[in-house]
Amino acid sequence: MNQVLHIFRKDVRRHWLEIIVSLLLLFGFAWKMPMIWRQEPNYEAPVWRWLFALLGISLCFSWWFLIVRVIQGESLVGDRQFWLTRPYQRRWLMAAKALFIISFVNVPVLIFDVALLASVGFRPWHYLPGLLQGQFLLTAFLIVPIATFSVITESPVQFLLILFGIVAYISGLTWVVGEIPSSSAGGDIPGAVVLTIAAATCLALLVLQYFRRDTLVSRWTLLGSVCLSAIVVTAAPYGLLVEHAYPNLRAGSLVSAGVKIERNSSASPHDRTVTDKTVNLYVPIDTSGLVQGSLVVVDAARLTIYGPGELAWNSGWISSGSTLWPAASRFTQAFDVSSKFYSSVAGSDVDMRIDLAVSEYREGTAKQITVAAGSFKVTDDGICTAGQGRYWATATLQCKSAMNEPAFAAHLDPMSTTCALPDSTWPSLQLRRNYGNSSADFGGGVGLFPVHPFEINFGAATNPKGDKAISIVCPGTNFSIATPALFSRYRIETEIQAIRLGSYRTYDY
Amino acid sequence: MANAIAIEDLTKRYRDVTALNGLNMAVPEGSIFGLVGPNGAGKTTAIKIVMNILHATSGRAQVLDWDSRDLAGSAFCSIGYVSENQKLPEWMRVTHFLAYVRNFYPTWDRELENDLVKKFDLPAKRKLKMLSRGMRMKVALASSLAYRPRLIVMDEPFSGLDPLVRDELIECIQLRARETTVLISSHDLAEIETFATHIGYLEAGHLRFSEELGSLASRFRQIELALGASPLQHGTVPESWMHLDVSNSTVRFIESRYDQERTPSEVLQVFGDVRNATYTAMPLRSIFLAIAKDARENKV
Repeated sequence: MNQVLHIFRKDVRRHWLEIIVSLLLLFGFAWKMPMIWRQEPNYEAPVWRWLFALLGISLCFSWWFLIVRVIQGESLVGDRQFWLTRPYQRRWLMAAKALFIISFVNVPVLIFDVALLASVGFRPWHYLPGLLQGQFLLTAFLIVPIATFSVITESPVQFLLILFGIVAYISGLTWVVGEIPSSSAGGDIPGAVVLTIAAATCLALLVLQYFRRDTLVSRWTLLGSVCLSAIVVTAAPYGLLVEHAYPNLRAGSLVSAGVKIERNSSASPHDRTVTDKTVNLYVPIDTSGLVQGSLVVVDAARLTIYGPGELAWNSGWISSGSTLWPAASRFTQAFDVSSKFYSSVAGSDVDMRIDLAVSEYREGTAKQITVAAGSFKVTDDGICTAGQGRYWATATLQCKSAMNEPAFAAHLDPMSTTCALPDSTWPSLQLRRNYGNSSADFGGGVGLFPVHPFEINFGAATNPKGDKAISIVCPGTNFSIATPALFSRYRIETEIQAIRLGSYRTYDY
Repeated sequence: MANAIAIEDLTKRYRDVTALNGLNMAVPEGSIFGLVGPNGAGKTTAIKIVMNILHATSGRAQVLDWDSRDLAGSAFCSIGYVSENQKLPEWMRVTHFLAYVRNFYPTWDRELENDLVKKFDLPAKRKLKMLSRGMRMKVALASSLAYRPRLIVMDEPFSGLDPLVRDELIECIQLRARETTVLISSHDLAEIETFATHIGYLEAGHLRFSEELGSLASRFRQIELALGASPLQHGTVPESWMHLDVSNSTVRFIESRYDQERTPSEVLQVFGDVRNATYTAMPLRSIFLAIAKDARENKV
């Protein structure tokens, strides 16, 4: 243990300048952080936005430099370092480096998180799990990868060379995987496998280098894991994975009978010349039967076209993200269709089938909230103020949440507004609904974003002509807010027959 | 005498290059063992394996009480290592460096450290990167002697140093030799000859020989014979004779197993009519040149 402190003190003495720079950058980042909490209109000068972005990049760079330098201070690569033949205990050396990183990266970020939460009005100790999750993410996605590359390289330059190689590899692999059908929608399991391989490789390399110092074996291990990851993501059966994650046995609001592809008879067929490799088709889909209080997110969609004879084409699963609820049950899904196939069936009637992979959420118990003149709490994790909206005469609730971007469903009956309405017969006074994230599993913002801004926007009331608007959110106005929870994941399909593809080349708003 | 280092059948290959080829060597405890050989002979590789800086392809080495592969941590409290190409923390000042390494050694002798700093005239406040090569070597040596190690391993410590610094280092090593074993590698024979007690000659990854310096010096003789007549034929030459040169009635060669009684009788047996024979002791440098030349002719 004595060695840990001894090496730590030496490292502090050596890297005091880098430590101060990184702390100053973190301080500067914290100082300008409130800038990103403000919703539109944002009066912050562009120069400050640039400065903030630059501060963030510089901060990450300073951490990178600090971690690389402190680890490579006792380089594990090469055979000329004086410390190799001194009585260093390897485990204490590793502990000393970990102590340094915890002291000058993790702890300052934790203090930064706590200070920001407190400055907004949250009680930091209520968010200990979120704070620890943020630290975990910071360590897993930033510190450990940097430390891993540091132990198998001799200098920051060598580190950058390997990093560029890895970036080029990831870019290339992303492009290759992007060409695989259904990969954009079915990557959860392969992604998790790759993350597991990456985590195991990082830990293996750190242990291997600190306890055996065999750089050649370490580098081969890295190469092996890189190849294994490539095999996993290129050989994964993405289509089957989507079908497995979204079984046909449904338990939710949507049934095939309630999901219809709209016939675009009103749209004029656009038989424009096809020049690209793909043709965009925009397919409007109408749904019905959504249960009150439900929220359906279309995670992925698949288009199959059956042409005359045996001609058929399949898009594979593509990610969607459209959100549906009882009052907003229509959406348009875009597909890229092969030009060759399109040209071959453009003049004929075809049948079209669409499969949807959806996640259905149900709202929990609603909580009544009254808008206050200043700041007020809307959930356990949210603090809001009524502020000016994006558009003239509108008002939104500008909120901040602690650690996670919240999942919420808010409802407001405009008739209950406390704002003075000129005429209660204005046609726009139907129930207002606003959704935040449907899912809030991921939180902590890798430790650097403990406070998340979000907006609850109920819009405004407008006169029959639509040229006058007035805010419906004023102090004293009541609204309800509920948290949606995942109810079911399932797959449904719908078909339409005898249509012309040309009818779907224009986006139908 | 027990051995401080015992190397058995050590082999190190780098892809197609064999740096060490079945090396067997023993460094007796209390000796100053000079490991000599030309550049590329494998001296540094052997030392780095002994110090567990490199891993051997096969074979093993025993260093004091440890298998060299287990050398780590507290084992280095008993071993000092100084190398010409060692990377020191150059950002440290001399005093800081000594204070830093001091904390790792329970047996560190502050008095000895002060003596060494004074003796080597080390500039306490200067950063290591500002020191000359010789000064850096002195700092490395001081930091490796101050804890009174049982074994000091030095890899080409005098390479590129001026004679004054060399003498200072040698003097210091000799002083410490009373309480420690020293393994020192060098390709400079003259400097090793002045203080080594044992010598090992490494060439192309093989140990050509290893013995006490005194015994080596006594078994090599340069022999010059004046014969009664030019020998048209002579008897079978013993294997220990090297570089035999016969011209007219003069014969010159080097005897590698000189014996006061046996060698003259062998000379008579081979050449018969010998009018005059001169047996000259050889300096270490001449011995090694003879061995190296002989090795090139594939005759050891």
